[in-house]
Amino acid sequence: MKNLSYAKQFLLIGACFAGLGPIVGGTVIWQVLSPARLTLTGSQIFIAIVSTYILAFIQAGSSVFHRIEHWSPLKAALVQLVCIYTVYTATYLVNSWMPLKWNVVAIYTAIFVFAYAVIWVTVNLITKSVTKKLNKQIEG
Amino acid sequence: MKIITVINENEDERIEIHSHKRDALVEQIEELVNNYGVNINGYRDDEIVPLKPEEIFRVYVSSNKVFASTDSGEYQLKYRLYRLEEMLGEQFIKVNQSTLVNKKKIKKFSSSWGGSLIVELKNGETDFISRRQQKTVMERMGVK
Repeated sequence: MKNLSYAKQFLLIGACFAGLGPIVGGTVIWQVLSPARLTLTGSQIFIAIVSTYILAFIQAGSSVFHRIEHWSPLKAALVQLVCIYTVYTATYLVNSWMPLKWNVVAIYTAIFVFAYAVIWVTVNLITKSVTKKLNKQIEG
Repeated sequence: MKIITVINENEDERIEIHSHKRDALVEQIEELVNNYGVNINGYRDDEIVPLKPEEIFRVYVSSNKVFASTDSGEYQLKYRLYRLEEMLGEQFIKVNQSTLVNKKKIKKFSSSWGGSLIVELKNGETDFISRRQQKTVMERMGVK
């Protein structure tokens, strides 16, 4: 894994975990939609299975951005955010899991960005605390 | 601390330190013993210079070549980084996949706006500490 390029690592990790997508999708259809007596057409189920496969592939594969050593945590988080946001948004809209209304998309986007902002602030605070401890050790 | 020197040709050579705690003196003795006789040849233009570990600030890989930075400039080394990590011992810390820094030459640590941890050396050089090496760096610097 260490000797593979980051693009190959992305593809390999994505391929390894992609199968989890249809399992999650199938479980949702089985446990949530069926008891609620919501019916789906064959093409809807097919699109749902394919899109959850892609979701899982991108979600797992994009973890490779955090392994790129010369990227700062902020850059890695931003690239992952753009990557995941794009695929999730497209999937939700294609499957009609989210209506194509600007206010709905805006709230959804705000939640996405907020979650990543919290992660970045946390990482930054941890780094500052580590820096302080290391400098104290040098001074001591 | 007492010093006992025993000269005996028939015994294996060894140095034992008995101390109440690991302090600067213990570390200096260890460093002296570990680096005694260790010289690494540095290459620049037509000259070959034997470099002592204590004069090296940083060893790093650039364009698949290994370099050492010292007070007298940069020298190319003919060893792979993992081999130098073994040769240079405890005095050097691996801060990322392609850099070893001399612990004694660290001026300070800082953090970037993007959340990266940066190490600054006494000669002004800086390098980033990878997330993978962060735990090791903290341990080697004595931070728990």
